[in-house]
Amino acid sequence: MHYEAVIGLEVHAQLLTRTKAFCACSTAYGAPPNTQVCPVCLGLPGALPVMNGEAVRLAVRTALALSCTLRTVSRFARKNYFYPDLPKGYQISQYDEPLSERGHLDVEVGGATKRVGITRVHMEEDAGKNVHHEGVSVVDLNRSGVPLVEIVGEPDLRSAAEAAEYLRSLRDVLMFAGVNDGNLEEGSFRCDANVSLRPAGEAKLGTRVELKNINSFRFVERALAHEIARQQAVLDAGGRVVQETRGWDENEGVTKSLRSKEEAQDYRYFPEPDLPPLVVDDAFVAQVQSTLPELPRAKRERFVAELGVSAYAAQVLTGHPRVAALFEEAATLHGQPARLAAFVQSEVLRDVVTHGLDARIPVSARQVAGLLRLVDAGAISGKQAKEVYAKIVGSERAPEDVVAELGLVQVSDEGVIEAVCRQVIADNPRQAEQLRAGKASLMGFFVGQVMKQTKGSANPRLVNDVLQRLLG
Amino acid sequence: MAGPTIDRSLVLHVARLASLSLDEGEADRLAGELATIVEYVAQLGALDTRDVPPTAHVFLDRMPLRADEPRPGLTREQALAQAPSVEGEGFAVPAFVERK
Repeated sequence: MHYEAVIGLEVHAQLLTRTKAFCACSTAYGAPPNTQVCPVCLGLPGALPVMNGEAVRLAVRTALALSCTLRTVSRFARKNYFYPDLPKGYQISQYDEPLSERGHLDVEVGGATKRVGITRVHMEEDAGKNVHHEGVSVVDLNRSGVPLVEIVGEPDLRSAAEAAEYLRSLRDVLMFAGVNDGNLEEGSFRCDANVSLRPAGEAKLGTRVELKNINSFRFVERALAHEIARQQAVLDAGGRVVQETRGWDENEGVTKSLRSKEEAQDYRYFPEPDLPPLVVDDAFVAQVQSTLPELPRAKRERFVAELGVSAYAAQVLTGHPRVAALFEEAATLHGQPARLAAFVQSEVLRDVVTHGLDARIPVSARQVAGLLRLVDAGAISGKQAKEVYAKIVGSERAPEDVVAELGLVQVSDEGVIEAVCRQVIADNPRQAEQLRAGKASLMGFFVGQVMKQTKGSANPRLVNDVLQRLLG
Repeated sequence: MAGPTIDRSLVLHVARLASLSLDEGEADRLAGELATIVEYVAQLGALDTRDVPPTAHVFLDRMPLRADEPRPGLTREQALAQAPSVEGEGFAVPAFVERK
């Protein structure tokens, strides 16, 4: 039978605050274990949580970026369970009155736009981290209490590839919104998936399996593809899918059962008595809305519609907030966005290294714009521009200085160019004959020969003009 | 308002959620004791609360918000001093396999 996969993703994203959700401990990544802790995040008796206003602001921003409806009064709840990395014995989360609901994210899949529903975006705190040794596990509580948003997606995804694309788009939105650093390796963007199969055309959902620990885009696609195939095999053999939680084992390339429905957690949620209701009034929401940065999709559309950049280039240039910012600044300085886009794409991107929200871009917008202006002015050729670019990368040098130092000057002296053209024609009499006989494609050959003779310094427009005149 | 029936199986279920192991006999004894407590609280059900909104907090105003400014907390030595068992730089617990 032909089955259709139904996938819904839950993403936990760390909010970009300096301090934890309910205490003033630092959230800086990579500190030595248990050095960013206090009575609140250690769960010591009598310690009380005080909400981080910036976490609220970033959570509201996340909700707005995903077009969610905000709840003016939302509540926190205790989610009770026992785990070594959860010192209080409960996680402060939101349950039946979450911060926001009913949003959506538009995702490009297979050349079409697909709208994926967002069930809810709510706030909660992270747990600690466990390191497992022989015979003992060791808990580091630096991460305990770090503010997260949980973004619950509707089961609108139909393949592993769609799920991966949704995740990429979501990560981009969060990064451009400035709420999350998108760093999967450091665990600040994590994903769980609910997967089920149903006969194609059937409306009723099949039994779902929750898939945990799929924390890279590569894993997501592989883990989901594997799980879909596993369920398909079970159904094809006449069996029934068991409702359970499974984990992805990257080493073996399989999903493994973690717990069955019978062992499923009963979290006994109840209202968090230590935190009064969270109020986000209209004025607060309007203020957050007014500072919401332009999101990648809007940026792409604007690059194409207003700046005349190709759809492909717009896609590439909005791959990272810092790259988009460099392009926009350079395009403003230079004035010809489409040309600048081509140069950034072909030359600059090669040298860009990104790590979450950080990006190492070894050249400034001013340098790139200045370099292209030299080409515009006819001072250097496009080929020489690449040579100059190689010299300014990683330095703060002005392109003009490098041009002067290298003694690069574009040859725009028609007499000089004509002499070279005549020589090239004389050296290639057979091709010249064919060109005159109508084989127009040979013009490129002659232009190439002249550029070669002049080591790329000849003004290509003039070369073309002169060759047309001599061979036309 | 009728409370839940507190029987042996419910006590065992709650005990499991609370990671408590009960001796033989304890479940039955607790079922009786808990039923008495729940019955006592259930007296509140006699009040007419149709016009009273559900309240989870004594402090009814909005949540106060804190500035996002880091402050030093405890040192690792102070933090680990509270722990029954320590290994290297962290809290030691019996070895376990991640299940979440």
